[in-house]
Amino acid sequence: MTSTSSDILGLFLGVCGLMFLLTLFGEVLSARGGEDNPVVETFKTRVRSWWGMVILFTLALIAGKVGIIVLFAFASFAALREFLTLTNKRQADHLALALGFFVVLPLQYLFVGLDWQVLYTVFIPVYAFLMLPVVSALRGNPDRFLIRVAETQWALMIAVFCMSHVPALLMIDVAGYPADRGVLLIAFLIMVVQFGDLLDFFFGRRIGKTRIIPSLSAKTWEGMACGVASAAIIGGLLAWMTPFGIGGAMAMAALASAAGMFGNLVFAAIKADRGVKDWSHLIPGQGGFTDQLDSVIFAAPIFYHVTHLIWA
Amino acid sequence: MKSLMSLPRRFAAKIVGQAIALFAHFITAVRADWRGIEPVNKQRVYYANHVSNADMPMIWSCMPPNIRRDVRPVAAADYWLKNKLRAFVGPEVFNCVLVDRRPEARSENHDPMQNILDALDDGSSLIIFPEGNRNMTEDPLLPFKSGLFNMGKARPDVDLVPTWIANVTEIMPKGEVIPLPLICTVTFGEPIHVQDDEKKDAFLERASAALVDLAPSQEDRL
Repeated sequence: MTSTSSDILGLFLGVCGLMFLLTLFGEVLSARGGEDNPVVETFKTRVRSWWGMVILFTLALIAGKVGIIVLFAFASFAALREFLTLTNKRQADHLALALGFFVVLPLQYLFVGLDWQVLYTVFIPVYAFLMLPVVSALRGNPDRFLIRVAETQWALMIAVFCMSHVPALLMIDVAGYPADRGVLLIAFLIMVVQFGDLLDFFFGRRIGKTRIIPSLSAKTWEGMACGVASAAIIGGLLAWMTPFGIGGAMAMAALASAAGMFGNLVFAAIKADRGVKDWSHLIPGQGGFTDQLDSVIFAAPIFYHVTHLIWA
Repeated sequence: MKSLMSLPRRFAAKIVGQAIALFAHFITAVRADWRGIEPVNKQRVYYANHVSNADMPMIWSCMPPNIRRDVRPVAAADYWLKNKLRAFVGPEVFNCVLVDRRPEARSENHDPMQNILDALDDGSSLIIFPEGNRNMTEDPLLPFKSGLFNMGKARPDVDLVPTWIANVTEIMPKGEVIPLPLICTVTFGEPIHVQDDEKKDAFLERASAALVDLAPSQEDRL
């Protein structure tokens, strides 16, 4: 067994242990008479969804590079579907939107898989950005045209471009960091961001006072500071998964976590504008894919580029 | 008619039905919102808005299997008997109650309402589109035909459930070939019944309002 696969196994066992503790905690709560308590029910549904995600992610890890890319391509598909369900569109956009789903999305992940960095970093911001509005314009309906094309482009940037930077981490070439450890770097990013969010929520409930945007979100500066600090500590503990060293891993974890939290606020603003609570109902207990992944989506491109700038 | 079907045909119909439901779930993640009723197998008439040929398969797909088994969409014979494939999918996969919309076919031994009442007396639930035709206008609903009233009057115990299907026009606008994978939601509202002395027009208006109430508000869209 190589050191990478034993590290993956160790990580998997660690995460499973943690999940067992959470499952047990949920069972204890309902045994203590919380059976009809909606908060306990929500918690248990969430833990079940997390189990699903851990299992899916592990299966993708076992399948290797292709598995990870396919997994995130499907996550992009689900997120894009949630996003475009809420945007403004006319029949004139039908072909452009179909191209977004069935051509732009698969091509982006193909470029990531083939490690054509020159293409996957500009394909959506340049080519899709210029070409899809042409396709819409050719159908000749100018009603709210700028709003329609801008919203479509935003959807593609978030759901496809940003999301694809998670599997793109597999392709980063850092001296002294074996190429097959890229999967660990992905696990690192997702874990620090998600645990940061969880602890932000926890501390926000306990000690949070000053809401960042009172009208929009329950997030508080205190909760956020504690969340980012916790993410940094977790990042330090998980530094063995990364090429950053302990100090670098802590800084990168804090950066990713902070980016993710601000991303969360941006998504809260979009949801409030469209009058929805969640993006969809695909994941029981936590809304849609976008609700689950919003902070990772925001953090991924920044994490990718800073890694590139400093370490590659 | 079922007994005449050979076993392999019935098996094929089941497989095709599963494939259609799976495809609908994969493309549109079609979701049922049981706002006014529980998803239990009770005899009901689901009456829905109609904008696209994909409406009926969507509603059918989002129902749990125990409801789907006993539900029969009421559909136009002239559409579903046009060719062999449709004649297989409509009557055998979806188990449609076929009615002929053409007035000239109605005269002899074909009374559409009688077919529908027979299906109800067999214990089946129904899916009907009371607008009669696909709605191509900007209005949320076309005026209802009288079928829903006649059904509710003749079988007053059966729940009439308003069923709003959202987003199908954007998933597959008329004239487009590729369906867009947007999320489709089917909302089931609270059942209504024809009241004892209620007039036809008053009832149809009430039924129509109950259905429009389920539509997601468009105010936040531009």
